Amino acid sequence: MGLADADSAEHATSSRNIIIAPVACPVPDRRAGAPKLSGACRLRIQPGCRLAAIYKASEVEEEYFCNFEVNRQYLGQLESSGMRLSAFDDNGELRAIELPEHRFFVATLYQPQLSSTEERPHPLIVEFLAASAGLVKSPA
Amino acid sequence: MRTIRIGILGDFDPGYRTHLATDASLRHAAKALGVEAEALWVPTPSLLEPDVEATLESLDGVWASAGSPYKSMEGMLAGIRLARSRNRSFVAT
Repeated sequence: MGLADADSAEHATSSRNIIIAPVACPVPDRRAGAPKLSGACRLRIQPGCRLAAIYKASEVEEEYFCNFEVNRQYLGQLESSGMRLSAFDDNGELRAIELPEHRFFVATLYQPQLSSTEERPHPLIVEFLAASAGLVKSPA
Repeated sequence: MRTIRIGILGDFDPGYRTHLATDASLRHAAKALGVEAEALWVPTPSLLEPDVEATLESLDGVWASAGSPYKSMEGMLAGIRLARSRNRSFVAT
């Protein structure tokens, strides 16, 4: 599967972090537990992370259209290689990661674009675009 | 202000709701910010080509799109790695 291949192909811990983002849908999860297919999900945002500043909330509802869960065995390694684990769902599954030192680097295991409307653009996408446009101050 | 160029790494599929939503959400965000934004889909196999760095240089931001399995996982990883090492604003959803 994607995750396993990428995992074995990327031995440097700093490279391995990147893999989590693209192997989102629809790699079947590697753990026992119901795969999430679609629908809404409530997320807990970790305080102090970029997502917390973007959402200005500690709990948000997001939409998925995917079937993926991060193997919890890797969470410690993700963290120790510099990734910030920034959002979890009600089952404690990791749903978003960030690279704190980067000017803007956020990966989500949900699809914010699915809930964006013209009247209510999704704040993560707005902040990403603002950062791309150089309108956001980079973290110190 | 000049047009902001967002490269969307992925194999665009007009039948995939999430891909259409990706484009739409960028339009919503651009309107909210009062900027002009242009979304360029960058097919994953093309990210393995030698000119990938030049492509990336021309982008202001990189979005690794949903939709795996990609035509080229290697390409996707290469694109993400470049976005990270070149300090491009990056989002993956």
